[in-house]
Amino acid sequence: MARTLAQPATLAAAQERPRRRDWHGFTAHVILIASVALLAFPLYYAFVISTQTLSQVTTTPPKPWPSTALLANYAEAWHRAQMGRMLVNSAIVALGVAIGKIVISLLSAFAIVYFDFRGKNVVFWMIFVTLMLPVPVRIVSTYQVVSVLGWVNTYWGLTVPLMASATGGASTIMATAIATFHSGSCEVRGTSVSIPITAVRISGVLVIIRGHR
Amino acid sequence: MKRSVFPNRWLPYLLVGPQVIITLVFFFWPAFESLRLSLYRASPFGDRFIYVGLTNFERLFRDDAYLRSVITSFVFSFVVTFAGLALALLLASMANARIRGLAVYRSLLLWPYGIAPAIAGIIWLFVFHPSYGILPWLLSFVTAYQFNWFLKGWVAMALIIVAAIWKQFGYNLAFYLAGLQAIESSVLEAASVDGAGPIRRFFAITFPLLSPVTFFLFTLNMTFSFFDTFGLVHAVTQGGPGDATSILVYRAWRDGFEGLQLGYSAAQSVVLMALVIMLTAFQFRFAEKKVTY
Amino acid sequence: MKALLARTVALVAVAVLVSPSAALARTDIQWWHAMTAVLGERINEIAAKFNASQNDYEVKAVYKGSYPDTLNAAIAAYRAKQPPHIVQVYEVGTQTMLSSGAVYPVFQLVKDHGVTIDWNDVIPPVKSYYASGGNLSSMAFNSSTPVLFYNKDLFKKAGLPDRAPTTWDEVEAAARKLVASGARCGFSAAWPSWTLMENMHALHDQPFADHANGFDGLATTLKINGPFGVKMMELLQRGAKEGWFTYNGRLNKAEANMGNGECGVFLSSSAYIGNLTRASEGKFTWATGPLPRMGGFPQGSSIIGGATLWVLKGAKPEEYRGVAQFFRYLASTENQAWWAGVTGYLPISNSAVKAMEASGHFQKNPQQRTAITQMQLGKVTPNSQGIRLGNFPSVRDAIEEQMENIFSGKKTAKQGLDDAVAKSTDILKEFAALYK
Repeated sequence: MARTLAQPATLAAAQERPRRRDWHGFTAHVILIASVALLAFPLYYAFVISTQTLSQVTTTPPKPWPSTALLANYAEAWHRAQMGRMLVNSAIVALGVAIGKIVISLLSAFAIVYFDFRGKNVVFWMIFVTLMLPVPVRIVSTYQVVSVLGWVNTYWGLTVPLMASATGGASTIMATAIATFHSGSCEVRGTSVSIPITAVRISGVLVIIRGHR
Repeated sequence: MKRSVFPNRWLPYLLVGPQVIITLVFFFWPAFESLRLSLYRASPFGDRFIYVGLTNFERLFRDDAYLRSVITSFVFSFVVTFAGLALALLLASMANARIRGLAVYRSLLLWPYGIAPAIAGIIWLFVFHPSYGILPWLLSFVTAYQFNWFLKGWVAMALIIVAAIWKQFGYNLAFYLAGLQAIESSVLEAASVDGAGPIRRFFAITFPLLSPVTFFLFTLNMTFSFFDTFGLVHAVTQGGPGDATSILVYRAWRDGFEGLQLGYSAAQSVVLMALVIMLTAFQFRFAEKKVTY
Repeated sequence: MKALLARTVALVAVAVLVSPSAALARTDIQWWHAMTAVLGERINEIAAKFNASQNDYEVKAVYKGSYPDTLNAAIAAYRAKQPPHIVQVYEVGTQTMLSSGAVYPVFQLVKDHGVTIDWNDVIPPVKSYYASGGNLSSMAFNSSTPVLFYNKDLFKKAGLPDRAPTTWDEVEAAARKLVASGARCGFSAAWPSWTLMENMHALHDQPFADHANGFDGLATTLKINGPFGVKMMELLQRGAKEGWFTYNGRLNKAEANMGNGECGVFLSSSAYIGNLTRASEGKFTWATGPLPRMGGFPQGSSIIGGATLWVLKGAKPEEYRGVAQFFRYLASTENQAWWAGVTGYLPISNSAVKAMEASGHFQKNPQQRTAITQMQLGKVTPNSQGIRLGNFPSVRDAIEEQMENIFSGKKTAKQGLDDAVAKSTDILKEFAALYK
C-alpha cells in the first residue's frame, strides 16, 4: 500500500524534496545544538561559581566566566567534606549495586524466560511489585531491617538493600528483552507486548539501572 | 518461532533464589513493617509502642497541611510530566531529520539524567538565587518583580519544577527522537499526498504512533516526580517557603525523621504506597487497551 | 570480578595504611555532635586536649550532620544497641530525651563515678532550662542566647549613630534609613521561631505554652496568639511589606546575608560571633547589642539555645568512668573560659565568667560580654525559665510555616498565629498521648 502512493505526484514535488530535507537537516542541527547548550548551561554556571571567591559569588552582576579560585575552592571542598573518603564509598556502593543488580536480574530473567516452573507467575509479580515502593517511602523500616542484620555502618548495609529496589524493573526489562531477542515478541503472563529493541532502549535500560538508586 | 523451554526442575529456583530472598528481606519485610507501624503511635527511642488503629490515617486526612501537600505533589508531578514531555516532543519533532551525529547528540543530551536529583537542584539553586543568581538578575531588567523563592511559593515551585524537567529532558528527548525515527516516512508521505497538512499529519499519524513512547515516558516521569525527587526538595527548598514545595515523599520523611512522629510518617508512606500501586495498575490497564503497537 | 577484588584489596590496604595507628589500648568514647566550621574545629580541639591530658580514655568527636540528623543517628544507634556514649542534642530535643528512658542523667553519672561538679555554680538561665527537680540530666556545654548584631559600616553610610538599637522602634527606624541609603537588607534574623517568637515572649515575660511552658507537666497548647504575639508579628509583617525587614529563611540560612555584609541589623545566636568574625574579616566591622524590646510589656529574660551533652544508656561501666572524667574536664573553669572565649557560647559557670573578666578577655572581645550581660540583667520568671515541649521540632516547623505565611502577607498575624496554635496543639497532644 505504502509503496505505490509514495510516487511523487508531480515532478516539482520530487525536485522540492531534496532541498527541503537539507533545510530540515540544518534546523535539526541548530535545534539540537541549542538544546545541548541550554542543557549544559546550568552545569557550566555551577562550574563558574566553583571557581569564584565568596565575595565574587555574592556580588552582582554575576560574572559568567570562570575566575581564579578554582584550586583553592576545590582543595577546601575536598578537605572539608572529606571527599576522598566519600568518593571511595560512592564508588564501592555504585559498583556493588550495579554489578549485584545486573547479575541477580540476569539470573531471574533467564529463569523466567526459559523455564516453566511452579510459582513462576508469583515470582514474576513479586519482582514487579518492587517497582511500586521506592526507597524514600520505606527507608525507616529498611533501616530497622539493616540494623537487625547487624549491617549498620557497613558496605553490605548500603549496597544490598538498594539491589532490592528496581531490580524488579531491571528484571522485567531484561526478561522482555531476552524474550524479544529470541522470538520477536513475548508472552508475559498473557499480555502481548512487542518492544522493538533499539540501541536507545538498551542504553535506556542501563540508565534506568544506574538511575534507580 | 517458539521459545525453547528447558525441562530442568530445580535450576530455575536456584536462579531466581537470590532475587526472591533479597526482595523478601529488603522489600516485603520493610513494607510490612511500614504498614504495621502506621497503626501505632511510637516514641522515637522505642520505649512506647501503642496500638491506635486508624487514628494516624484519620489525623492525616483531617490535616489540611497534608491535603495541601497532596495537591502540591500532583501539581508538581503533572507539570513536570506534561511540560517535560511536550517540550521534548516539540524539540524532537523539529530535530527529526536524517542527520549525522544523532548518537553524539543523544549522549550530549542524556547526561543530566545521570545526575542525582539533589545535585540538579543545587545547580539550579545557584541559577535561581534571589540575591546573586543569574536568572533573577536577568529578569530584573524586564520587571521590578522580586523573584525571591525564599518568600514566594510559586517561585520555589518553579525552581524545583525546572530542575526536575531539566534532569529528565534529555531522556525524554532521546526516546522521542528514537520513536520518531522509527516511524516509516512512507506513511507520512502517503498522508501528505492525500492532502493532510503537517499539523494534521502530526496529530493523526505521528502522535498515535508515538503512543507507546509517550505512555512509557508518562509513567516514568510521573513515578520519578512523585518518588525520586526527595533529594531535590531536601537539598534545595526543604519544603519551603511555608509548605509550598512540600511534596508527599518529603513530608513523610520530615514528619518521621525531624518530627520523630514515626507512626504518622508510616501512615504517609502507606498512602504513598497505595498511590504507586494505583499508578502502576493504571499503567497496565491502559497499556492493554489504548496503546497501539 | 578479579579487577574488583584487586581494587578492593588495594583500597583496604590504603585505608589501613592511612588510618592512625591505634597502638595505645585506650578506652574509646564516642561523642556525636552537630558542629560545623569554626565550632567543629573547636570541638576537635577540646577533644584532642582532653586526650592529650591523660592516657586512659580517648574521646572521638564525630560530626553527624545537623542537630536533627545527629539526634536521629543517636536514636537509630540506640535502637540498634550500638549507642554513642555522648550525643549533643539541641535544646528543642530536651523533652524527647527526658521522656525517652534511654538517658543516663549526668548528675547521677558523675556522682556514681566519683567526680564532683559544682552544680550550684552553673549560671541560672542554663540551670533553669535544663534542670529537673533541681538536677541537670544533661551536661551544659554550648548554650547561647540571641543577641543583636549590627553592621557599623552600613550604619555609618546611612548616617546612623554607632550604637546598637535597643528597642523595636529604633530597629525599625534604623532599618528604614539603611534601606533608604542603599542597603540590600535593613533588618533580618536567623532561627526565626527561636529569636522572634520564643525569645521575644520570654524577654517580655509572656507565656509561650501552658503548664508554665511545659515545666509543670507536658504542655498541650501554645499561647503565642495573645496580644503580644500578634503585635510582634504585625510589626514584622509590616516590615516585610515596607521592605525594611528581609526574611531570609529558616535555621541559620539568614546568617549568609549578614556575613556577606548585606544586612544592617540582625538577630542571631551569640555563638554566631565566631563565624561572623571570620566572614567579615577585612570586609566590614560590626558590633553587638542586647535584644530589642517592645514598649508596654514587662521585663523577662532571653532564653537559652544551643545544645547540651546527653549520655545514653547501654555502655560499659569503665566507659562511663571515662565520660565522667571528660565532663569534669569540660566543667573546669579554665576549659569553660577557653571554650566560651573562642566560640561565643556562654560560659556555663559563674566562676568561668569571673575568670574571663579577670583575664581581660572582654576588653579584647567586648562583643562576647553582650550575651552575658543580657542574661545577668534578665529576670527569670515562669515564662522566661525556658520552653520544654514534646515534639518541639515539629512545633517549631508549624510556627515557622505560619510565620512565613504572615511575612509574605498570605495571612493576617492573628490568623497565622491561631493556625500555628491549632497545629501545635495537635502535635503536642500526640506526644502527650504517648506518655499518658
